[in-house]
Amino acid sequence: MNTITKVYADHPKTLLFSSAAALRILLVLAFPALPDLLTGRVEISSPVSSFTRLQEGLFLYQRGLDPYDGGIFHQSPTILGRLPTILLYTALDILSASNLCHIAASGAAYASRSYTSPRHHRHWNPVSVAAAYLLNPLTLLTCLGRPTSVFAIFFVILSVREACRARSVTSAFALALASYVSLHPVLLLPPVGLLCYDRVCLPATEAAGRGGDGETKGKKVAIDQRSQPSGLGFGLIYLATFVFSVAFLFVLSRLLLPSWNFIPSVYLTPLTLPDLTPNPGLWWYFFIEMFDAFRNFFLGVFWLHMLSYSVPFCLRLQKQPLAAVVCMMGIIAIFEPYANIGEVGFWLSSITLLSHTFELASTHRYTFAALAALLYTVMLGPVFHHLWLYAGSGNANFFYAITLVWALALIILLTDTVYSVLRDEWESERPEGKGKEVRQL
Amino acid sequence: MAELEKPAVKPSTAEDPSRKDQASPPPESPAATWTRRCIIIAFWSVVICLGLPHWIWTTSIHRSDLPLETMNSWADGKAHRFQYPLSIRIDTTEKDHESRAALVADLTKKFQQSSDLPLYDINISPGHYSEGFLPEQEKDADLVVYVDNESKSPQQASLRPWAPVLDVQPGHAGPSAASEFIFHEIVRAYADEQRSLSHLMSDSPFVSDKGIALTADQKTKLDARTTRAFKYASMYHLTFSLFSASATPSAWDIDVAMQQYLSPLLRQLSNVSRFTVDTQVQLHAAFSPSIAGPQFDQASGKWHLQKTDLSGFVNAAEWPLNPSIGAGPTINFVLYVPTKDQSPLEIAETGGTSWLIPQWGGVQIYNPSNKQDSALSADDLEAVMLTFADQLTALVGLPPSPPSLTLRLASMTRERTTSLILSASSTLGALSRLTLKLTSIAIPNSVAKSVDETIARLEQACLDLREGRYNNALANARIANDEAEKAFFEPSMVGQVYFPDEHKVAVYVPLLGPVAVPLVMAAVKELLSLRRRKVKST
Repeated sequence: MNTITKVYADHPKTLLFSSAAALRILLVLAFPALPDLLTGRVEISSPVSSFTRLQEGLFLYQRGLDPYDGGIFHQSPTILGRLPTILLYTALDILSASNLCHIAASGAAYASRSYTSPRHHRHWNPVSVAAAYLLNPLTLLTCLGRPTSVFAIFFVILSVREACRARSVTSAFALALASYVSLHPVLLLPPVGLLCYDRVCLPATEAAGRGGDGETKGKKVAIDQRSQPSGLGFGLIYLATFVFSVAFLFVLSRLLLPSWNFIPSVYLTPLTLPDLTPNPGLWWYFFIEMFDAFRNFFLGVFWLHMLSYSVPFCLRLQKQPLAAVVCMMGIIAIFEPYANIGEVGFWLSSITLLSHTFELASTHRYTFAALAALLYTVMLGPVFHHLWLYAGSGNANFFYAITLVWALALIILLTDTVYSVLRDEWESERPEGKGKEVRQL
Repeated sequence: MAELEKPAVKPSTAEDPSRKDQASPPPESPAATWTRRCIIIAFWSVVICLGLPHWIWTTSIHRSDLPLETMNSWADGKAHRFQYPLSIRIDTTEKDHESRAALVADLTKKFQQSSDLPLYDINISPGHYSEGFLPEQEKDADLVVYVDNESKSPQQASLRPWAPVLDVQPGHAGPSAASEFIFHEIVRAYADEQRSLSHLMSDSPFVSDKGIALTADQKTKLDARTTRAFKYASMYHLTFSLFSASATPSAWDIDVAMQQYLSPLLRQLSNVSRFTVDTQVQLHAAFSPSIAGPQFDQASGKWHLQKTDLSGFVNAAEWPLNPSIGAGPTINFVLYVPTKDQSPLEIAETGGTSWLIPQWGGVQIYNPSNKQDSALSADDLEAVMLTFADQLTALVGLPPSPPSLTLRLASMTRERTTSLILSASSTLGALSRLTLKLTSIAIPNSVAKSVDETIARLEQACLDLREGRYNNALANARIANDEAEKAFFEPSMVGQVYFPDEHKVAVYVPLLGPVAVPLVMAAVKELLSLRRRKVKST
């Protein structure tokens, strides 16, 4: 017993990672039918990430056919090497968790070049953040269901981690990989770029802060602007790296495949939503009901809605760029066309990166109600889906109502996060307002 | 969303004067104001730069320009007046040029003065009589009149069945009586066709004052003819089926019978439409369960089929009669051979054995004579094939008179052309009214193209009609009609027909309304505060 405690105290990461990996592998060994059962669930597998469709595409590819000809396979071409095993998915999860751990340890959540949270001492232990990801039941189910969205999640986390390490080129390349695997991470380009820029400027700022007298500490410090890279120039370089990486990946894919067919098949599918299989998102029911003449217009409206948050989050949360990234991830997880619980699980876990603000959300907001609603929908969603499609005693509205509640709970969580982050920032400006009721004017 | 959130101290209650200073929120820092403005601009720039073009691009309705005036002029019957030129050649055995010219002049005068054939432009020319009639001579004239002055037989006239030739023997009458006789014979040859043509035009805007009044009886007859016939097509499929109620006969000499009795007719008809022929034999063909079946009549010793059973006689469920083979309609001909114990079988009221099913085909019952062969020979089939040929002429819409097949074919060509032009014109009119009435429907380019093609083909068809090229006119009119129907039934147009503009409110408001409220309110609030600040500073 003592040794276990000692091992835990000395190597908490090793213990966490090994137990999480063991949990995944043991579940598969104990219930061999579980992965296939989960693969068939609409909550986990979407038409653009399903493991069964990947098998179909791989089958066609290995026989020298264009995998995109059948109209079933919509996943990016480089996954076509060989069929990923559950071990690979476990490894991806562990690596993602390790990256999350690094992000949490970097302190990007509570300290930026122009701002340090008054609550920075309240942040969670990085291992706890990793545990929140690895032991999250939604992540666990997604890992066993093997959708390819796990790759996109991994590359997004990798990109954020590289941004926290102020490595702009690798960060942009990882984000390009994520966008190449599934389209929507491209919306993260502004916040991740901002985060990266902030981390690049941070050492100079800290140096200036340290170099000053004791009086200037904690106050605004005049920083020599010339010692820092210009925002515009950095942004252009970051964008150019991203564009070149994507172009490089496209050319690479073209070399693997007989035609350019993969571009419309992979990237037009989330844009035009040809497959209206029910999922936990908000799109499918709306576009089943929509008049054909307005379909294209509302597809545009839904995408522009997602897109429109990207820049405003960066503007408002420019002092806390990691918070902007997390909020944008939430927007994507809630409003993406082929929503799945994998993205939601990843977002819920990454909220723990902002753990220093949790006390604000839990005292002033509706976090408990939202979490209760999430639990309730997690239970009722599969039940209503079964009632509608298999038992035949319900209809589409049953399942859609649950997905609405699910989305509502997630939106409440998102607004709570935004609130607590902003309140935290405001309290650093006005310490006298701490603990008081506030309202928006 | 929370992007506009600017927390401020909650103003305390007004009754507490000691905290009055805190009641008004502290002023915003300029940086915060600018951030807020930038955020509002960011949202609005997405709306204006991306949303607005997207809205215009995806919801604008593409309306190609249609030549509405031309379409309406066709629909109103102003674009064309039906007039059918007929060239008639008078060939006489008379050697004397003058008397021949006198006969031609006399006939021309008679046609100009009379109002018996108002729809036709008759042009009479003299020609040389030659005993051997060459096929190419047929092409110079729509009708050739052979006047045999030397014949001593009494006054008589007859049409040759396979050529557009009217043989006239004026007998001993004088030249004026002869020309009177010829005139009446020509009028008689075209009277039925003219009646049918003016019946076609009577309900359309193309109706001319020259049209002739029809009696109710004639109208019913013409209507019956129209309902019986198939719609005109450039290709018909003929299916000849032998259905035996028992195991015999199990074969028929249909190839030879076709060659002998039907091919001459098909060769003539193939000027107008093409035909493919299929045959089949089906043994042990059972009656349809929906009919009562034949009854034995003790008095005559025959089996009788009730008239009410005739419509259900064809067992559509079990007899392999294809509804269509490729493009073009299928005309079915069914020969039914009853079992030995049910023979002879005939229709109760009339004693007949054949009947015609409008726009479907013909049915015949063949009661074999005593010798029960396993095969029907070509000779056995003679009567059968002649009845089928008769039914075929009715089904493709060949008029029953005059007796010359060539003239009947020419008649049919003119009638079909006329009805196709009428139908294409009225379709154009309907399309033009539709596009004017429903201003919100899309008009794809394909519709405009079809309409242009229709009008071009209609003009060409009318030109052909005026110049007497009736076969070309028919081909053009058919294409015109097909194109007009294609334009009218364009599926992308029909989908939007019942979508009035006011329904768009119900489409846009539920989602865009709630989204627009915070956007608009934030923009208005910001603009107002900007103005207030400006006023303050000046």
